[in-house]
Amino acid sequence: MIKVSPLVYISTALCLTFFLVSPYRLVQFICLGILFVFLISFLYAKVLSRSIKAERNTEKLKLACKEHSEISFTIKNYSPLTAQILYFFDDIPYFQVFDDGNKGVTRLRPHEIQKINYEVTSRDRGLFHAGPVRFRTSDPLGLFLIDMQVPCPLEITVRPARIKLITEAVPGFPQGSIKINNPCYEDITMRRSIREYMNGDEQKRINWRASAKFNNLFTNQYEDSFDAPFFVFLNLAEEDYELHTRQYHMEKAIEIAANIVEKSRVLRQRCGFAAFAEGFPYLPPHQNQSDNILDILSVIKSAHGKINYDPVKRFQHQLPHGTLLFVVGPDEVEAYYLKVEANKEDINTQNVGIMRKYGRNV
Amino acid sequence: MEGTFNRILERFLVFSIAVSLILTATGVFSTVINKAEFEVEYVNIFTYIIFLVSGLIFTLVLQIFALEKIKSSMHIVFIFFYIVIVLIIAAVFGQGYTPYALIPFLIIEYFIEAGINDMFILHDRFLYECENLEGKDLETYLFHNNLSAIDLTEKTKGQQAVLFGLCVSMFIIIVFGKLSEGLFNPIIIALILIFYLSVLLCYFMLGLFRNDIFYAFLGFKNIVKDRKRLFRSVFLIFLISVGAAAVISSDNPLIKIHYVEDYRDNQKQKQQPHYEEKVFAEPIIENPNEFLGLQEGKPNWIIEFIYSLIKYAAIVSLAGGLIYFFVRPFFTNHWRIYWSEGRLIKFLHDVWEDIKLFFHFMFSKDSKTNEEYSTVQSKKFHESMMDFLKKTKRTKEKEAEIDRLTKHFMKLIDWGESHKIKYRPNLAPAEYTALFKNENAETAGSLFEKALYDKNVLNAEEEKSFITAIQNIIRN
Repeated sequence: MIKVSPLVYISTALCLTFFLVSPYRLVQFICLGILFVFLISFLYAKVLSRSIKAERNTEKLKLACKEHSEISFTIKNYSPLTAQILYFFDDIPYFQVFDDGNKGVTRLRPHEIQKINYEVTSRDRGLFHAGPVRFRTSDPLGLFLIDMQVPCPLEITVRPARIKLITEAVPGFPQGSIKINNPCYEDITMRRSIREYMNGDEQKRINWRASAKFNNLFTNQYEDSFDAPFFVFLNLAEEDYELHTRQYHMEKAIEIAANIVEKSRVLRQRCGFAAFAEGFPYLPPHQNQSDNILDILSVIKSAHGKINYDPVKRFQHQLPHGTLLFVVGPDEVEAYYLKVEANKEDINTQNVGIMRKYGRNV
Repeated sequence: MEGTFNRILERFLVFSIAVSLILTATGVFSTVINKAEFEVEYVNIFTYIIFLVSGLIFTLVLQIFALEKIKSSMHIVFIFFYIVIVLIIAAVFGQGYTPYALIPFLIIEYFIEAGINDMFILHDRFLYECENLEGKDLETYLFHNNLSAIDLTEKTKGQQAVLFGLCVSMFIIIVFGKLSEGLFNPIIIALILIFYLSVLLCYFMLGLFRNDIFYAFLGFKNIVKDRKRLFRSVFLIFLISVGAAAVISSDNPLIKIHYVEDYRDNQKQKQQPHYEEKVFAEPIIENPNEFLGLQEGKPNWIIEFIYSLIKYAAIVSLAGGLIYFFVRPFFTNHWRIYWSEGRLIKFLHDVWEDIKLFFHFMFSKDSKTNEEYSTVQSKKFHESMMDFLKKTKRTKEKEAEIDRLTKHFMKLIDWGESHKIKYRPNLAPAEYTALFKNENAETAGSLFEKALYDKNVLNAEEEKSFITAIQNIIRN
């Protein structure tokens, strides 16, 4: 949008009138001179307003709450004209921007590209949007002010904050992706190495091909591993939480749940999720589902009412054998806080009472 | 150095606007004002010289007033004594009639200069206040101390109207000058051009001041990266406009108004009427006393005495007040310190240094002009190369090689863009490098094309010579 001073309109009208009616060359010359100055400035502003663009290198961004993240966008000038004073401002509400990097004044020379980087952090989880990018510049004379907004959307998902909580996977069933030093969980499909035969080794473990080659008996050694599908139940029933600490404890419950889901992703375990929350989400354990669950946790909201069932009993029979069930509710949050206040180093899901196996505490 | 450049330019604009306006007005109407038949010259070369010199003196005096923080009332004292001095000079040179034109026009010239200069002083004060602050500090400071910014904003708004008024005044002078067959010689036309250029630059400065305030509130300072280039753009716009206007303008209006046409034709045909001395009859007054308003009667001497006492007391107090007003500044402590410390000499020395810096800044070669920067063109070139690689399905080695060479070639395009060698997407690499008319560029172009179309990768020597060739171009 090009803003024009009223004086320009008045001057244009006067100059045009006098140019049309004046029979004197000097008067016409002055009027035309002023009109041409306005015309050239206007065209300059018009060209600039059409040729300044902003682009982002990504359309979606995911970061954890209270963590720093870098946002970048590119300003491009497609015209052969220079924007002498260009102010840019990337609108990013609800975020704390470091060093006011989302705004600045620069000069954009013909066909120039400038990359703008800045750091942000968010105090709250949720789904946010950055953009549009606002530009403010003008022609060299400053008669026509260009104030425009370039839609440059960026979807930012702020996930719950990372907290200090250890989740040690308890074997659900053998043969999986988690390593363990226990021959009980030997995975005979994953041969690790061979070693010389020792008395007592089973005949079926002998590697006959290697033994024949080296004229000595060799025994196969296998990887010991297990799998433990995760299932997280999150209680966000408003009446279950005390009124004065409700918001704070609920947020902590979400952070605990996010921490467990994050762990399942690191361990490459199937993960499921259910919650007594707005929309009552339920996702049975599946591979590569952790990201989706974290996205849900970014925007999840509490639900009215009080939970009137035991989640362990309710979900125990719907889950695959060996699934680790994690229940996060007001009691668990309270227990977690007690551990934090006591400055305990080993705060984990087991000693806080979050992890349940086969419906029982581990 | 940029600050000095700005200060001198601003003062020059103040001078040029006031002087060109006054000189044009007096010059155009000199034929009307001067009465040739009585051999009376109110406006002559002496007047023009006085206006020109006064313009310079006023500019310097206003600057001194600003630096010394002199009260506004001192403007009247100064102009009073200045006119007295001019009258003495006129008497010495035997210019008996010129003071009739000089006095009003000098007062107008002085107050035009004072009015415009005021805005620049406020701007200087604003910059001085924010001198050591930047970013968040500046933002916070202006949030709490924004009086100078508000003053300057108000002043710029007022100044816009003043400049517009001056433009209209000049326009009226030209129109009435034309209608009254005023003097329009090349010097006056040049003065008109100077006036409008100065007003344009003043408007431009106003725009910069508004930007200064706006961005200062956001925490930004020194927003103009290349002031010289910006001024060049403004001059270019002015020159194009003047050129186009000179070509198109003519003595024939597009809309003809009969009244104006007739008036102009009559003016051309009309001859100078002869002055005929008329004999006026003596008026017959029957009773002279009645005519003069005198009443017959015995005057009361006490009342007359009181009246005359009041009259003389008023005259004496008024004269005393005026003398006090005009003479008092010469007996102040400030005046004594000013002269005892030799501040005038120091001021003139500083002005001279500033003028030298101004010209040095104007004519010095700017290192920033040919600074390289990333361009859209080089980015486009990179994208086109990536597309080419996708389509041709080259080996990984070949892809890595072209990616490497493209990055160097992009530097060459960026350099070319800043040196007016434009890259166009329809040019092949070698065609583009041919535009450089440089042996190194041709080597780089041919090697790049070889790498692009040959299935084998370039050997180490060839790649090295390609990189060296590009580096040589950029360095030289």
